[in-house]
Amino acid sequence: MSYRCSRRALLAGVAGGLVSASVWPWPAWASPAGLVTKPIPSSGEALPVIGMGTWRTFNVGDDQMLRDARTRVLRAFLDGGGQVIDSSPMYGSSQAVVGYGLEQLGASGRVFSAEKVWTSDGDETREDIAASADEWRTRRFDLMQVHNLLAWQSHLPTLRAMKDAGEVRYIGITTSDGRRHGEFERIMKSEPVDFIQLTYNMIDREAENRLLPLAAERGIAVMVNRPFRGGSLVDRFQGRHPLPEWAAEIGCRNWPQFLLKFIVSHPAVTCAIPATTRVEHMREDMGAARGPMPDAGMRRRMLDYVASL
Amino acid sequence: MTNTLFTYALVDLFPVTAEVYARLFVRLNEAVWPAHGVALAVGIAALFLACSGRPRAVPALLALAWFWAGYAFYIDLYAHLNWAAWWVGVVFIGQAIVLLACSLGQRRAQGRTALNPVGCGIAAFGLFVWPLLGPLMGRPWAGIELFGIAPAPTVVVTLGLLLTLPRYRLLVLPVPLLWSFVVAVPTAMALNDPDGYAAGAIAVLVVAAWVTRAVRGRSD
Repeated sequence: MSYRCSRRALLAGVAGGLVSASVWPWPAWASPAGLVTKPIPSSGEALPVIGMGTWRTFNVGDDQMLRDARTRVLRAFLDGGGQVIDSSPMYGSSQAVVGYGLEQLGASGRVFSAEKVWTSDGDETREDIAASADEWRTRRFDLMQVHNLLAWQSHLPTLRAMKDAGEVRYIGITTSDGRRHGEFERIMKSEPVDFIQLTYNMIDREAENRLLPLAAERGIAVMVNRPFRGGSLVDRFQGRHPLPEWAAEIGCRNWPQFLLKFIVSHPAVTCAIPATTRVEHMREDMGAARGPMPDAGMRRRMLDYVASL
Repeated sequence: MTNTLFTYALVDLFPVTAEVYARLFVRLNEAVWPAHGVALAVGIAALFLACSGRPRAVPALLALAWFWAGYAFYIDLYAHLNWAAWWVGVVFIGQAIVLLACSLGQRRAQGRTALNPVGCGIAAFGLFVWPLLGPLMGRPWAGIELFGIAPAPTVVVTLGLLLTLPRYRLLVLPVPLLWSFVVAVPTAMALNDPDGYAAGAIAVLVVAAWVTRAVRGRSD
């Protein structure tokens, strides 16, 4: 299976750094600290391939003990070189907990903030975003996405206007668990979005058929949610099946890294956003953003191995 | 938003982890302490009245428990983490109002009612045994779930005591039954928390007892 990278993405990538062609046949760059990054096709801005999701994991309300525990997870993420943090108004108190943690760590300006509009009222786009900004304790988001295509017809024009006015840097749409892929595809073809967010992992690979190739063709960055299927893939493999010896060739020391490297080595994928409540798991996840990445042949081998288990 | 509601998976309606959900009960207990003694006293009084054949005041006592569990747990605590919890809290308070209205009707009933051993047994289980389930499964004692404070034992005790009522069961049983099947069991599935399955099993037992009693009543 091969994927063609768009010329736009390639050019943007060349502007962003050095191509590590020996292990990765598509644009990927290693930061000075050895962190693997990929470019946002619409700008060339490089992002680490591992970001952080906040669904369920950061929804701890005003429980001070748990807020401090999540701040430690956030610190491990940032110490590991992470930048992209994704949240949504749908995630309960997750936004506020991220905002609290970033303020505690003095790191508000160090992250790539990815948020979502989640309201069925198309006239409340700006109010919804302003409320999210209050929770994050920030003034501007890097990426604003329409959550699960909710009222996207109303929200996208407002987001475009906000992008033109410099109020948000990138705009996008999201889906998860394979919902409404047909409509998602139509929007990708007709609307100028910078990012899409969808579910893709070693088991849920429907996106490979149309959405990921289309994203590459149209120069749209891809953020991948549910890389572990809500943790169930790690539970299914970790401690029950050994990693193959050849996993060391791509720098995988554990199953989370194996699962993540498969995802972020897809040519069209920009980053994955695993979520966790534990510092040691965050460190494992961030390890997937380092070392060699699997090429197409190795990806096939990874799939065959998982299928054999 | 309603048109997309049904595209969500069950787990999407539980935006918290099991760790956070368990912590809610620790925080709830800290917040309402020392109301636990009052709640236990209300529960014991309701059980005594129901099992001694004088259940007329039972709905009023249950109304207190439902109001408090609905407000303190769902609306004041859990709703900050889960938008659906606010609605469950509203339903709890609605059930408290219905129970209160029902208690006025029960007052007109004369004489003693026959002992309902299934109902009394379920209520006693909810009052005295249910709180031990969490610690037995490894959760902290500080997060113990008690009748009148936490929703699950409140519902279990209610299911048992309502079986002892001579009238209005059709009016007051649906909400605790629905909670067991629509909230408790899905929570158990989403959070891998066996308590909810126990609530579902008790609800099935109550339905069976209710139907059996209704059928016997007709054939008598």
